[in-house]
Amino acid sequence: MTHLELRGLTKRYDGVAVVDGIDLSVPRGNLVCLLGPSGCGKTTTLRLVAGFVAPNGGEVRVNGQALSSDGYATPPEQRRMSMIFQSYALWPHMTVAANVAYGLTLRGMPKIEAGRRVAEMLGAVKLGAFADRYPGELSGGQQQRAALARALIVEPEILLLDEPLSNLDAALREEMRFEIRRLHDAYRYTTVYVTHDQAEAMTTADLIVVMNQGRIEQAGSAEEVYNRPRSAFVAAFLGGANILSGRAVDAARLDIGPAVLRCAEPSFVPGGEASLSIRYHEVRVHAEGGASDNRLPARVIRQTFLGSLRDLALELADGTMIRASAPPDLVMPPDARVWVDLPSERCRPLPS
Amino acid sequence: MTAETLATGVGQRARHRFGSADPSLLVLAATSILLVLLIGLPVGWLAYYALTDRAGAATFGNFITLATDPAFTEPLATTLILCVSVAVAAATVASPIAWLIARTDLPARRTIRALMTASFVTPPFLGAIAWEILAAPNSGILNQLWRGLTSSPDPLLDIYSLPGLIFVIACYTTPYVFVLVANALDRIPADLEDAAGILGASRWRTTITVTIPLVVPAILAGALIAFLQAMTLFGSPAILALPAGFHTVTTKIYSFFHFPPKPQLAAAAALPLLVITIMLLVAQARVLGRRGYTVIGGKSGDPRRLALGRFRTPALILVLCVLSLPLMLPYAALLKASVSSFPGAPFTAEHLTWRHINFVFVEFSQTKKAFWNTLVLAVGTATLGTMLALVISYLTARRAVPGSRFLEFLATAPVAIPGIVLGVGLFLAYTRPPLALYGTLWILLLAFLTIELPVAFQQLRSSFHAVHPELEEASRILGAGRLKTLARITAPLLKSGVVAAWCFIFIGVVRELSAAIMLFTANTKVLSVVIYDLNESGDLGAIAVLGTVMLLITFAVVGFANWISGVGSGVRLRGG
Repeated sequence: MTHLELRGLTKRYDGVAVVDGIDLSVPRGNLVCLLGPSGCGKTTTLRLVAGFVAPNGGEVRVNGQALSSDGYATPPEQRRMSMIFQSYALWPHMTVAANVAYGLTLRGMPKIEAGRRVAEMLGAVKLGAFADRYPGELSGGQQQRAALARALIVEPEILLLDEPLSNLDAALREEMRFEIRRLHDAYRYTTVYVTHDQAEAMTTADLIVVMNQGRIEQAGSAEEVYNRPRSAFVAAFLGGANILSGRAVDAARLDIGPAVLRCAEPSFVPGGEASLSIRYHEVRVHAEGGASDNRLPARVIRQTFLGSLRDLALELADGTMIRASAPPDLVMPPDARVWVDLPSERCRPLPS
Repeated sequence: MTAETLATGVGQRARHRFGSADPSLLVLAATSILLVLLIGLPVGWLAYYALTDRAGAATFGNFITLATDPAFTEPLATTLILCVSVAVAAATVASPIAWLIARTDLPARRTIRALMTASFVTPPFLGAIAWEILAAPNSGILNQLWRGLTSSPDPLLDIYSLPGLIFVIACYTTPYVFVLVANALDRIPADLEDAAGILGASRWRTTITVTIPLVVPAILAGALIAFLQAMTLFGSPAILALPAGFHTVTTKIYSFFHFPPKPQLAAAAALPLLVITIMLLVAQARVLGRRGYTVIGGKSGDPRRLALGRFRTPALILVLCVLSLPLMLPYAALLKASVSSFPGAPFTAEHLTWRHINFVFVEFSQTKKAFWNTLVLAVGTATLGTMLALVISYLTARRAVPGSRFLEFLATAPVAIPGIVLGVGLFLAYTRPPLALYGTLWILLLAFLTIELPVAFQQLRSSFHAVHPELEEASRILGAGRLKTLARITAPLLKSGVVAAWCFIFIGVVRELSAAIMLFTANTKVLSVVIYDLNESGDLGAIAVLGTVMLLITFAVVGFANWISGVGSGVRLRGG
């Protein structure tokens, strides 16, 4: 059942569309991730849902009721949502307990009942011992948990998270990714999560929405967007991919210049301009061999040892660059002549 | 869809739009209207009067009358000489002192800074009166000492003169330049100077080629403020120039209200002040805009201090001598005058007297009333003004409503309205129905509110910039409306800024004279007006008592503000 719905949502600043006709349905209890580079409009979309900004067109609907429409937005305080901010936005003049209790007090909950719930919630986010501290006395991760507690305790209609982990160090970020998913599984609030980090999106989301230049590039499960990118942007942004362009010989074969590549899924329009994507780690590199289907000669330009893999930059005969993630023990000196294998089942045609 | 269901749908939509509109929108609208009226009404009436004749017909006659009458053109020329001299003097004296305090190892730097602040809050008219006590040609204490020492019949100093006036006004505008330059020097990142040092520049060379050029905008800005102060002050010229038989523009405007009143001429004479002020402020924005304080906004360690070596003690003595002019000498003179039978009396037991204190607090019927009026106005204006400034700075800092830039302009605009000009405008605006406020405290409240609004607004706006907007958004998404958020989140976070704004307004009101002098009536006299009146009747002893009390109140409020912002910074520290 659709809980949150965006219909043709548009926001322009000085005539430039920052959010450009977004359509999206989020079923109740789902966690949807808006994923994209900075400036793609994901945060603006979130703020449109929250009601901090009014759209120039389209609607935000919750339970079928329009909360925002062209030039109008129900104020955020009347939306029964809650939000976790990039800066956490914990009020420095209140203790952790007072921060968490704030939303309950606003809803007129009696003090004793509120106190009990706050203690319970602080327990759930493992901050029970820190109730009387001030935010400034907490570590980054603890502040993050306090912000989560403050947002979750009001049992929001919809929970919004704006790059919540971007201020944490790498180890803590990974821990909090799982923590957010754990809490989501425990409470099952419909959640919109904004991030530019694909690992964060893949860990937490039921539905990943890849955004670029104010539009949705692709929406789907983590597997769908990763394995079947529908655009060069999605392929490159999620995990990185080589995009090879050329002219389709027939439905399954693409002439990229130095070679004709075969794709396992025939979907090209014969004779038309087209491109395909193949991920770095799907490219195989061999020191020896000979030309055959989807195997072509290349020259090593640069190689970097990255611990678990070796990152190679390769140049095809016509100067096209290909990146490959090879096993770490494959040592290739610069300028070495090699053969690259682009397996046909990994060459995914991109819709033109 | 039938027409009927369509209509119902529209009705629902309309209810949805307006029924759920948050009440804060009303406050926003009310604030905007209030602000427009507050500033628009007096300025509008001023312009109307300046451009009409007695019968109400449009004319440029008032300006022509003024431009061709030496009784007005001479004060105008005097005022220009006065302003330029004061600006140059203040910048010349204040800049080196600021550098000594901010950049050298001069002893007692903190104390000297505090003393500079003290001369900042001294009401200029009180300073002028204190210098009357010190340097009036016959009775002045310094002149009597001089005569005693040299047995010369002529006085050493004559404060009732243009140089005397320039000197006294410069005394009390120097702190403006000092504060601006010292703050700018404080904020120069040490790296900028280190960068010159690593390239081989000596300390002195670095100072001359890097440090000083970086504070030139601050010096110019300070000189400009000194210029504007000199141009718009009423008290000091009224006290020192009128006995000497010459006028400045402000005293001339005041005289247009003597019988028979010529409000048209007063309005016409006030407009040039307004225009010059606006032009200078625009010029200042240009100058500061080009190099800007952003360069000086870097984060850095301690500034490098230049070792003065054997010049340390002479430099300290020099600075203390300079400080004695606005502070030690006048304060000592006021204290002495308040307990001596006459100001120049020898300091012996037989001349010690309670007479002035007794007169002020027991005999003089106006004292109690004036204290009460001043207190009511100061508390009222400070409270209302802080609330108003809080709402406006919220709206502008958060760009919460369309047109917030206009609000920002309105809230800063009174900077460009000299007190006496505003006084004339308010007099013209509120002596008629429907708002016949003349003769009540309300008109003074409006005047003070308008005059003090920019200071409070700027203070709170900069405080707002230190509060991350997400702190407010977090409250709103949890269900608090704008006003509730302002009250429960923003205001507590701004506490020290709010208290500072309140205190600024309070002090400003206590010392205000130039608008009050246009607007008071017998029942609405405030302390500053009473002091001015007593000066007219030559009762310096009583003035000294009242002035001392006024200074005590001011310093108590300053101390309170410092204490509170100390408490506030504790909270901020804890909050990270």
